[in-house]
Amino acid sequence: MAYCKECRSFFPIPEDADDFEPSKGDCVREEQDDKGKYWRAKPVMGDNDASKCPGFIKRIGG
Amino acid sequence: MALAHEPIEYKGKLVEFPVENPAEKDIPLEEIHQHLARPSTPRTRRLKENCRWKHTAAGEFVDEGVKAGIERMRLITEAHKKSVGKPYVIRRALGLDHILRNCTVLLMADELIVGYHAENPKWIPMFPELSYMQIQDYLQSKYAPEPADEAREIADYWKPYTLQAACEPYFTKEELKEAYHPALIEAPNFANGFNSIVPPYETVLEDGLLQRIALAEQHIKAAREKLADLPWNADRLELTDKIDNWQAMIIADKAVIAWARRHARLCRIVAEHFETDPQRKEELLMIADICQRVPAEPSRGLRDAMQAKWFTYLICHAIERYASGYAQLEDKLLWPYYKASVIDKTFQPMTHADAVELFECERLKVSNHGAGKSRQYREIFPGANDLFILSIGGLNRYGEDNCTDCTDAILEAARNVRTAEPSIVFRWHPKCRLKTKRLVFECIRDGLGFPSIKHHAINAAQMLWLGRFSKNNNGATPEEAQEWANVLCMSPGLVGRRKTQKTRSEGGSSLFTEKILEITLFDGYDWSYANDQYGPHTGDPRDFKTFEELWEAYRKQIQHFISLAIRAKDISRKMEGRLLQMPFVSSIDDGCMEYGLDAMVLSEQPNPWQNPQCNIVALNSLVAIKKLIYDEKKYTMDQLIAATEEVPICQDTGVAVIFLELGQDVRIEGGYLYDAINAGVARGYTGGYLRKSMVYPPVDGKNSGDNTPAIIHTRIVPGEHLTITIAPKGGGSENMSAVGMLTPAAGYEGVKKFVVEAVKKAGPNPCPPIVVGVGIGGNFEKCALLAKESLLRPLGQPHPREEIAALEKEILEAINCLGIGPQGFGGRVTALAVHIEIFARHIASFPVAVNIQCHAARHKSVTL
Repeated sequence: MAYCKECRSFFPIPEDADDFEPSKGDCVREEQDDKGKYWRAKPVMGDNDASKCPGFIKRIGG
Repeated sequence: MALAHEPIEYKGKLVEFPVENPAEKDIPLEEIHQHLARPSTPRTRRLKENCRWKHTAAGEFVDEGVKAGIERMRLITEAHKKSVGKPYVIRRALGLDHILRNCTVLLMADELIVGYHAENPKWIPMFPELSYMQIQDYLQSKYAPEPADEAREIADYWKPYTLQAACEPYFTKEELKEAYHPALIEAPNFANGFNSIVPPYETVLEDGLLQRIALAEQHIKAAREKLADLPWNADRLELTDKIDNWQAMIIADKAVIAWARRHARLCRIVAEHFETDPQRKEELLMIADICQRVPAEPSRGLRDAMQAKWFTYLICHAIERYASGYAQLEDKLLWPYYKASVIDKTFQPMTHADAVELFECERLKVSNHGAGKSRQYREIFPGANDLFILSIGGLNRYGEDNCTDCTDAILEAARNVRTAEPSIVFRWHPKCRLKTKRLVFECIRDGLGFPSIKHHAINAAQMLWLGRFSKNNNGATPEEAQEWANVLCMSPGLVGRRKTQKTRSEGGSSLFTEKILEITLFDGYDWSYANDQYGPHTGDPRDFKTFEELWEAYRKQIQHFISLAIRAKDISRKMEGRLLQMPFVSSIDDGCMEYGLDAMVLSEQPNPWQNPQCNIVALNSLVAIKKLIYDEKKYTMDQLIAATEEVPICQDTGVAVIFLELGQDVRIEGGYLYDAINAGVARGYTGGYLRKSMVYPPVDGKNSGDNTPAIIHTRIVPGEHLTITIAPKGGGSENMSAVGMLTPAAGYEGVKKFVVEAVKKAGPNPCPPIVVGVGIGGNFEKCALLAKESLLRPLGQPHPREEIAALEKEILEAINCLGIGPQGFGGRVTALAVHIEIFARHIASFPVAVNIQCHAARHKSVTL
């Protein structure tokens, strides 16, 4: 099974952040529409099942 | 070419109006807008080119891909379900908290000010807690949030908890019917979700939210100590509500800080992991630093202030609740930060040009912003995505000129980037400096359509006068009265740390006085739009002997509707205080903070603004009625009412097309039949004041003056009767007719293609929605006559032959997929019906004719 925390788009929330929770991270994705690039961040839990996520790309290394 | 006024002589001098840039003289008018646009930097040029506009036309969003998002409605529903049992103000705060901690945050390329209010930069958020009718409006449209099933489920869940459901029980069905009529009063905000606010930005920029949290905590501590004081006094019970309010403020402010810092984190992640341009990387790290500090801490420079203001705007206007407008006295608000950055260069040092770029970026953020307004509001604000109006100029609280280089930077940005939004109000005062006034007029001269100019002193005096009626004797002071800004397009309101308007039920609404006069003429009956009794019975004006009786009837109607409008506002406000509290707005208002009251409850500065719209029409009509009917007795009230009821709905009353069915046993005596018909046409068009459109000879002729000759088609039929049918036909739709000689192999598909193409080519010209007459078969002239005759059939009655009826239906569907819509403004109803008539044809010919009829498809028959 693939987990969010293994994805290249997963960025753990620092411990000193207002919204810190253990294993919580930001799923940050670069997107593009006809008007140009934009980036979106959505909170996710690292242990979420990502096996059906179309944007999942396994992080290589740590 | 650019237009310049002719020189005029004034006090003996010739005043000339030269075009400032002589090159404009040679630029065609249709290109002048883009020519004058000159975003000051490559960044703002790119941002404008890539702006995701949310403009509307005829109620539809113009750009592709604009739709409602589901994220906000989903998150507020989750929070509402989880918070059952808690005080409602806490539930509202937890709702905001849940949204801000779990929503998507966005960062768009190139931008210097960050933050958006939906999960996709082309989407807009929904507010299911406001009006169930408005949500239904979206669910039924092509902009419906997805997944559609989930959106419907959320809408159903909220229905009993909406502001609308809370308010409706205090009205009868009849009253609600009157209140929801679109042209008598502005519908109650509980029904349409429309709202307006003046956020007290000053506290956010000057204090920062951490200080607001600390203040609320101090109030809670003091209140708890007071609760515990001995001996107990029941008067202190009100402290429990106050503690809840302060607690809700703390929850809301902490959530906003966390949300802003999520933007900081996103900027930092993009800078460190995605961005390859070193200069943009540096910018992103700078923005990350700003979002980490503001709005938590006080703003120190112009970049801080612009970002803190934008975050505050998003929460107050688009996340905690929807509100239209962009109310602020922007130059006064930002001057300390402009001074720090541009003049003193003590923090975020920059040049004036850098500040102008920042204001251009702000304009493009507003242009990118979208509002989830109901269809009615999208229709009445065509061309714009919402009402965005900021104010500048005038005097400051000390009675000195408020215009500064910051004011100029705002105007220069507007002139450079040329966006319709936000519009600007310039507060005119003789003390305002000439340099700034010149810029104001340059914006107007360049055709921006703004700034509008309002009288500073009159509005300041109005603020002061209204302040006398403050419920807590804390209305505007003379100093505060100087600091007003337009709340929306017309009504002024205070700006500053307190006493600003927090909701539209506190101030602002509309009354349509011309429509009310119309129904007064019909004893309260609306014959022209709703065909139903809408106002009270105030008598038949044909029985009135004096103008005063009519005036009294009108006064009663106005009183009825204004009472309904204000009652709806007041009940909205009462219910807003019960279930639509705004803890974030409360937290940034010094009054709410001091008293521990919610922003929907506290009102310090009254705002009784009620826009009476179209007064000129009503007053002109009353003056004309008094003069012509009661004073000079040139006309009677009978004649006025008859003329009102019988006025044509279009100026083109057409060619008189006459179809005669003459029984073969009929004998016409006493003259030529066609002469009699033409005489009748002449009498009807002259006596009925219909437009005369016939000219002869056709190439360079003169108007016959009585709309003759008629075009007469005669058919001999069995019997001894004469049936005369008149079908007036306007030129606009007739001009879009077409005849085609198809090949016999073209078949049904060929007919369908030919008809749909003819309608597509016609576009808006025949005044859709149209009725499409089609003739198939016969020869060249026969098929054209068939097409015309088919228009006489009762609307929508299918052809008796099944296959032809099926073809009519198929063509109608294809036409309504063209998207031309009523009057060509876009939409699903381009045609009301397709009628086909058929006749035998030659084996080698397949004639098809299309005759288009505008929506005024009227005909009348008489049998003698």
